[in-house]
Amino acid sequence: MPALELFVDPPDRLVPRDGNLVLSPPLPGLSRVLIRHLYCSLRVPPVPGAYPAVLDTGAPLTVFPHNLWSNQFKWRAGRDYDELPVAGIGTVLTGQVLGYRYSFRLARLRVPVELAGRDPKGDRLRLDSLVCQLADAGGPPFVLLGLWGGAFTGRRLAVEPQPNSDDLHARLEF
Amino acid sequence: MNTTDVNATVPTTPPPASAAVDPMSEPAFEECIEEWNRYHEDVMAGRLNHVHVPVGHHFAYYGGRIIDHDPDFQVLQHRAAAKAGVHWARLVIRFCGEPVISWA
Repeated sequence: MPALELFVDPPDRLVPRDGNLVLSPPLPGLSRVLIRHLYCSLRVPPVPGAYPAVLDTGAPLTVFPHNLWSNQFKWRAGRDYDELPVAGIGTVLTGQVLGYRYSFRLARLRVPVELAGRDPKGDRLRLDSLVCQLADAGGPPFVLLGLWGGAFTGRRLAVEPQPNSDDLHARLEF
Repeated sequence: MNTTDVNATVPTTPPPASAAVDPMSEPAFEECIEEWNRYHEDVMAGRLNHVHVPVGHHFAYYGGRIIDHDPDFQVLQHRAAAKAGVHWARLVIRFCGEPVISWA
């Protein structure tokens, strides 16, 4: 089964920096709590570079920050995406994830998005016709891969303890 | 203009080993992933210190150290690439947000 091996990191600015909260006193079988998040690399051919995409099943849809979709990828309506008008509302909606509250356009991409894991020569997951939020300024400043619209549908997220460790190994199978 | 405390990071990870690669050339996706792996390994080994990066700034990493930071992604991308002498797409750029957990 093809899969992406995900990056499993402590979030930035966490104290302690290794993301391990040591319990004092420890409980039987539990001496620390690990704070981690999962991400993979994303690209939008032919734009060069790799961009982090955080996996967040708590986000209802995938979110692209304004500085990426508008300024970096230079996506334009009718060429790179179709705006999706919602009956009785229109195309501009308001969303909230991870403490960010923002306006966005609901869109279906005409351009493919490609996800890669840690192995540079490993499997790639190509997402065609991704349904997503194109956030205005003020939204999350990184790509969030949300539950519906194409990133998770039909995949399996496997999170397991690493051998001889309580740290995590994670992969997205497809 | 931001100033970066280069002493706040410890450049222990060597830059890309292949001398044949022109750092100013546009990287393949695979090369970008390799740099993300170097960043990941430095994070997991506790070799990077983000303390000097203000909340709300993006920061750019390359070759084992944080090169620069700025609230504007594109401004940072081009300034850090010039500082590091590499194509902008070779940089690892991350956002420094509020800590997900802090002490009450």
